[in-house]
Amino acid sequence: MRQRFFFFQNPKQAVFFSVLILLALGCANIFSASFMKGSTGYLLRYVIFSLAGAAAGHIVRRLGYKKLTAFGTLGAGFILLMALLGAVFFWAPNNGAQRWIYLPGGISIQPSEFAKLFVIMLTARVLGGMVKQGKRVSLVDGTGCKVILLSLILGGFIYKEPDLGTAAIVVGLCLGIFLLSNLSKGQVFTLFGLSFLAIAVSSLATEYRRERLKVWLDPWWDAQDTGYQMVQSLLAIGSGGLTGLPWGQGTSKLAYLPEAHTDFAFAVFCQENGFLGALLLILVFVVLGVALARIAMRCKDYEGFLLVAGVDLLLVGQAAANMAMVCGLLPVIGVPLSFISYGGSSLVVSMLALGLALSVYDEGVKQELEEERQQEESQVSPRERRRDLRLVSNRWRR
Amino acid sequence: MKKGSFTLYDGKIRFSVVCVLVGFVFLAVCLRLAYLQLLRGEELGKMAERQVELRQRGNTPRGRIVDRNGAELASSIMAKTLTANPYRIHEAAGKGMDVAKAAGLLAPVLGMRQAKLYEILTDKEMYFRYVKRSLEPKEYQAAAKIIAENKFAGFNFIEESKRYYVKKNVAAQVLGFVGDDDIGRYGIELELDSILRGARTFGSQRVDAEGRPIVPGQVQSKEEIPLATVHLTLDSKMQYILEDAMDDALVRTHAVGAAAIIMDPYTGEILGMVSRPTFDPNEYWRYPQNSWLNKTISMVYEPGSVFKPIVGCAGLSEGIVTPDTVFQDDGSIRIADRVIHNWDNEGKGPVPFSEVIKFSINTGMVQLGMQLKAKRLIDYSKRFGFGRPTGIDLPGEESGILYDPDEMYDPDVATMAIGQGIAITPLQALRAISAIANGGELLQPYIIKKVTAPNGEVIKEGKKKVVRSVITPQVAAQMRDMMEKVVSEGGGKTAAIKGYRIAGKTGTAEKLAEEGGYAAGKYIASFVGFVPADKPVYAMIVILDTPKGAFYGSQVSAPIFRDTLQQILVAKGIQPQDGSALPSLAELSGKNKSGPLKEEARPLPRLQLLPDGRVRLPDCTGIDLRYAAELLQQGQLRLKPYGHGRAYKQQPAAGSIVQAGSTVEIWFR
Repeated sequence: MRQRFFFFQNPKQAVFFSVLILLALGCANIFSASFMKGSTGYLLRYVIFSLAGAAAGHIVRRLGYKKLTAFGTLGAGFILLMALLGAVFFWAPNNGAQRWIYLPGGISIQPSEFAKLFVIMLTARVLGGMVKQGKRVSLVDGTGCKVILLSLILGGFIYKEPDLGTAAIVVGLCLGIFLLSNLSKGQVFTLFGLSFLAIAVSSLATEYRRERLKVWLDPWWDAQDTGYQMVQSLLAIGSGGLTGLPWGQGTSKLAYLPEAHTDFAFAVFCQENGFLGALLLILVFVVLGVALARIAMRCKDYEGFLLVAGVDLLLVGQAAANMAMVCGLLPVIGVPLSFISYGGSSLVVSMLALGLALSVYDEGVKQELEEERQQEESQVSPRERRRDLRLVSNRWRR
Repeated sequence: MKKGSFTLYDGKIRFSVVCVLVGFVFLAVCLRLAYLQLLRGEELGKMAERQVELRQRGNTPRGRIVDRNGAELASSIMAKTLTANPYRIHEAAGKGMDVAKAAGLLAPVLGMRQAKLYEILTDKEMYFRYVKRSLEPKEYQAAAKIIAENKFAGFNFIEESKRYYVKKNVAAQVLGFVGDDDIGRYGIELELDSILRGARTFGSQRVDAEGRPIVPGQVQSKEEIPLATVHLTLDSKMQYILEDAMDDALVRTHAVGAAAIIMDPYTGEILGMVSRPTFDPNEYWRYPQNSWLNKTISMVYEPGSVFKPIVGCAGLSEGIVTPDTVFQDDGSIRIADRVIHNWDNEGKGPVPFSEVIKFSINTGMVQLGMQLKAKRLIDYSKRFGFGRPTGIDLPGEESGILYDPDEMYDPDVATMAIGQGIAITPLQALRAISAIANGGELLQPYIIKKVTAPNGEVIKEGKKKVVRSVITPQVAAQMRDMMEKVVSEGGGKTAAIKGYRIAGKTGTAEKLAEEGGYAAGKYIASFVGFVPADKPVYAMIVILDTPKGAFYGSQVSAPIFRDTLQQILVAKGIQPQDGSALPSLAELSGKNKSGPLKEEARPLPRLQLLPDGRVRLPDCTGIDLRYAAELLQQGQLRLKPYGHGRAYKQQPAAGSIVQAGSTVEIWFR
């Protein structure tokens, strides 16, 4: 667990390092993207949310994932989450969707973001427990069904907001963790097949989605209307060139590119920082992803492994999906770019997820230290051990 | 790592696969970015820039029109035009912009009907509509404030050239006016539109998707194309006198229209040109369209006796008559089935030809005409320039109507000899008479003296152009003598000015009805003449359309000719030939209470912006409130006006230097 990770002393350091860089880039991007909106309010809130998130993440890390994924905690979390997801519908829609709970002070909460993390915790806990007990995880037995059902309930609520992207991520994260458990190969392929079918059916089901699909294949087909966002995104990325436009000179954020500071923040980033800047951002995400993967791989607790793998998927997998979407490789679904997209709930959830991952690391380190101590004890002769004690007692005497 | 747990190991293998898949996604993103940013970067960048750049079709102010002495007649300044993007407004309305409120707030400020404005703003299929063009500075400020305060989207101000005719209706028909889009219509504005029109500049401004400037007020790469100045041959002083005299004449005679021209008979330069009814080109739309027409070149009428000198010249040139050839005048004469009377029906018995002209004896002229016959009559008419446009550099000129000589019956020849059965324009009449005045040269009249580029280079120059020599100097001299006698002793005595030798001819003819034939009881009274008779300096024609009451040229037009000419002679300092004293200017201008000479042309005052940001005030006397407001705005000064009319007093005084932002008080009356 504590082995060197590239030029970092250990993966934890790599995680800290990459997240700090991501936050710095996020700050710059938010500032630039929202600068023309005439306020520094976005930047201020970004900083506040990242600090609050860091504090919350730290508490989570201290509490340890084992306590947090206890069934009691999860049950309470589920009830709270359902209440919040239901409450969303009592607030006014924004951009035609009811995703937020507006609190006084200009703060809004997006419960669906929390659902993502909750699903990871729940699935990792249940499946990890099953694997540890030596049970075969199955999509069709009682426990597996229950987990999938819960994720589907959450996803259903989110889908109703409507927020297909987040709903798909919630269910997708659950199924992804299933894949990482000891699911039989037959069921793995069945799952792939069903997912593919579900995606195909849902994307062709309505005229709106068919248009979206068409726009994905050729955004210029309807550049003024349905393809507008994609075309604007491509213009933004392309105009960045190799080194990007002078800082603050990017024009796409000037109301041309919808969601320029949220889902399409990457396009603005590419415009202002160019190809080299985008490569740097991707590299940082890769470092974070590999560092989290290292923590997962070195984990000896199956639950911890699944948890960190889920967090990795949530933070880095989602980032990859967002980037692919923004540059037109995937159809446009609402996936934020972790740390870079503006969104308080997303930021706090990312921090909490990191806290969980690091608590798994801490646990692993604790175990390693324990093992080392036992190993040393078994190797060192009793006399030497006594001498050690004498040294200690001598020091006391002085 | 321990291999103790097979399932854990198994899961980690699977996770590695997932990680590799995610890695591939990142790789695909990198490749895609390389394609978009490196291969197609330039192309996409241009497209992105293009949508940001709001191309602004700017206008540079239209060129000036000045008189022969440089006095300004028309000038342009840049004014703001409010435009709307109804499509954007429609989008903004979806995000909560209250379009009805916008219309309600802006309509009173712009002086528009609210319903009309609302209709423009909600024309959501359109990306561009004019809301109101060429706003007054006050309107612009108020509208801009409302739009900014309420954050109304989809509005934009562009700069357009706005024309000011500084002397209002002076020479209105000559100048014409400028319609929307800075396009000249009528007059010089139309004739020289391509030269005068402000070249379009292509400035660009970077705007956001709502059409708001990214950096307000920043317009890039606007190239100012300097413009030419048109110098007319008009003399503002004479033009003023003529304008004023025509106003006066309309009041006195209740005529429905009038036309008057003053020309230099030796060069063909038009010195004054007036048409009534008139209009103010600043607000041309408030006047009926017939007031826009320049009657001096577009009015077609029968000259009547004014044509007699032309027929006389033909007779003299053809050797049919000499001034002493005797004609028998019985008061009337029968030609085929037509009987032609003298104006007073009285016969003078045997009279020499000079008396025929002097007293405008119809019977004598008919006899001459019958001797000339149709072909020569029409020939001479054509030689004197009738039947085709004079070629003056103004648009809308008529050619008049001439008989085909082969289709003329004797009565037609007879009536044409007394100036009926031929239709001419006032300018044709004046230039034909000028040919007599200058010794026989038919000139092409012109009104554009020169066109100069801003660097002083002359682009185009009007020059004297002799069309042809129509009569010998001897014949011309004989006719001048006869015409001088018309004024000194004959039918045109009412045009005489003590101390000056004036030659002239009166004319009265029934008005041509628009539907053909004559308009019963409607007459055109005219007087054409030149001064001094032996070596003319000015030739002038005065025509009154349908005067009420007295209608003879001698009764109506000749006195107006006299009064006008007298003022001009005095104003130009042309001394009487018999050595009697020149009447004082005050004496003459006292006749007309408006005092035209007081309003002497002088350039509009301009602010002098000093390099330290301060402003030197000009003498504002004589300018109106509107111009004063604009003038002071250029120097960011505040105007505090008192009264209305023209400025006569200002505080601080002319020439004083003030800080930008300070207030200038101006009194108007």
